[in-house]
Amino acid sequence: MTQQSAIISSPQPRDDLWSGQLYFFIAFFLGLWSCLTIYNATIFSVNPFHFTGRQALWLLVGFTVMWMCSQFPFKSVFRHIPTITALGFFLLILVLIFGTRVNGMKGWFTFGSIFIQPSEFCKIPFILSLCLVAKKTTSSGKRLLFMISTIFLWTLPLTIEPDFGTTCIYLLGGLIVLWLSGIRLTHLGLIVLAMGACGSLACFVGGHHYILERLKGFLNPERYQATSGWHIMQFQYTIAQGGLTGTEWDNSLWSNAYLPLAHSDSSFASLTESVGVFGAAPVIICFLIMGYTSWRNAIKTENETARLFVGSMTFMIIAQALVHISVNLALLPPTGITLPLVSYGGSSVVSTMAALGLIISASKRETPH
Amino acid sequence: MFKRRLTAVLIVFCLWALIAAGKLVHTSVYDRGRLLDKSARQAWRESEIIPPRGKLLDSEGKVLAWTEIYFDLVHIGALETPQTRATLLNIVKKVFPNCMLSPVGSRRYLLKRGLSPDEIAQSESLIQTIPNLMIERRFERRYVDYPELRPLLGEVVVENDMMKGVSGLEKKYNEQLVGKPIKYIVMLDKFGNWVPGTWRPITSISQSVDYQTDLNLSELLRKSGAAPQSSNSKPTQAKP
Repeated sequence: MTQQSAIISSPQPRDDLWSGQLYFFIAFFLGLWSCLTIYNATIFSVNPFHFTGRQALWLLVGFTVMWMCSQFPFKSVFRHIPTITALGFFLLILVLIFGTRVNGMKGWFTFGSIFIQPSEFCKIPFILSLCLVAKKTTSSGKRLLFMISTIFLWTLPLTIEPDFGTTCIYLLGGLIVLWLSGIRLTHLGLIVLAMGACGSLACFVGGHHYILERLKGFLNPERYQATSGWHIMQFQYTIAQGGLTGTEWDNSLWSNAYLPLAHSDSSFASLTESVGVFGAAPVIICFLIMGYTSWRNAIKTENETARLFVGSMTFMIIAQALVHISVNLALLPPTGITLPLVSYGGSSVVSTMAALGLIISASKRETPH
Repeated sequence: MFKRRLTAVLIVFCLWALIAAGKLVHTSVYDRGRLLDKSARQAWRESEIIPPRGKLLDSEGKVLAWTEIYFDLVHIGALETPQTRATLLNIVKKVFPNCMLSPVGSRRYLLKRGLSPDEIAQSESLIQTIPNLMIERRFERRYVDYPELRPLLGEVVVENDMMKGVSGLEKKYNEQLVGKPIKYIVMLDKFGNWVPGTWRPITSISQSVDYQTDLNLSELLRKSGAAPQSSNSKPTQAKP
């Protein structure tokens, strides 16, 4: 036996196994709730099992991908970050040229009846590329500059699509990575202000006046109920129908009759109508448990890049979930963001589960022989 | 440092989740009554169903006058430009190639008259997607094919969607024949369609009552000064 210490994969410590299983359990619970929510939200359609069946299939694919990603050593993933990043960015550019436009947004590749949204899958290379930049640059000034440039490069194609909701999630993810990699709070504050200023300028210059209309409707939904406040009022009415325990499972009247996009952008409100506060609160708790589990895993992980990835990726997912929930509760203006693992959408489901698989992989501890 | 920063992120997200949970409880519990009232005003509608007018029968139960129900596809609302009218017609023609757009009164257009049950089912997809397109019920009064009996039986006119007798037996027994409208409540969706399973009556359901004469058909014809013919009832067009 050599004196060199060899890092080998040892049988997993018990708490690694437990936290890995916890991620699978959370994904399973949210997936189950997703199928029930989508079924209820489309009960009055010609075939309510159409969307539910497709979501179930995507969940199966997602669990397979999640398991495969969890088995992949994170060090191998780390070695291939440049390739993964280049591929992801290439897809974002390609969709601008060859993508399909849906509801004014050119963000999907279509293959028959299958729609693939590359911006969902690119969340993983986005975070990985930021982690790589944080690892490779030693000077804090250079690190800040390169990380901001990376964030800008990734979000530029998204704003061209235009998908402002996903852009906000990418920006939130970028801010989380910046914070965890050691940026000063004052610098972070300045970056947030600059983002806000750029966003406002883009609204005026780009002529995206609908964003201003949405803001007006958000600030006073009852006054603009017939126009920009309509969606927000329907959120509130839908949630009110559910009360504490919800309506019956096949009796989600408001989700079917009035709530726009009840199976995707408004799925939390639709879920609350069906199962009430007692059924919707566990969804929030699930995401918090996910956050706590990743917190524990990240602080135990010795590899700096791995722990940065675990923390950033998890909280980017949770940020998206909380943005969606806040929009449905009228705490934020409507953004068109889905609820990870619950809203209908194959790209969102599979990419989130792939991310969870990589989080499990990055959380595994390697012990010296 | 990493641990402290990650803990700060966790705390911030926990606080955010707590605020969201608080808003959830506020909307679902404390503000629920007010929101349910507002939503009810938006969605629930009260209206009435007018039952078909009762039949006139002779003493042997032969039908002398009866009401037939038809369903028409109509558009209620202004179609100001020829382009709007052409667009609507083209969309409806995809389902009913033989339909026409005929103005009937102010802001009403008839697209197809006398829909069959299959055509009513086919119209559903159009009604759910085109605002102000609806199926309207139309009553027509029919009489037995003895013109000499008409003065005795009488005539009806339509006022406020209800038939009203203006002469003869139709007028004399109008109150009995017309029945009572049934008041109901129903939830409408964003297109103004009824939401399945939400209809319920507010008043008791009562039908209109038929009127039976003391004389049979032959005696009625003798009374009106005509010779009795075949007792088979044939439909004739009633005057609206």
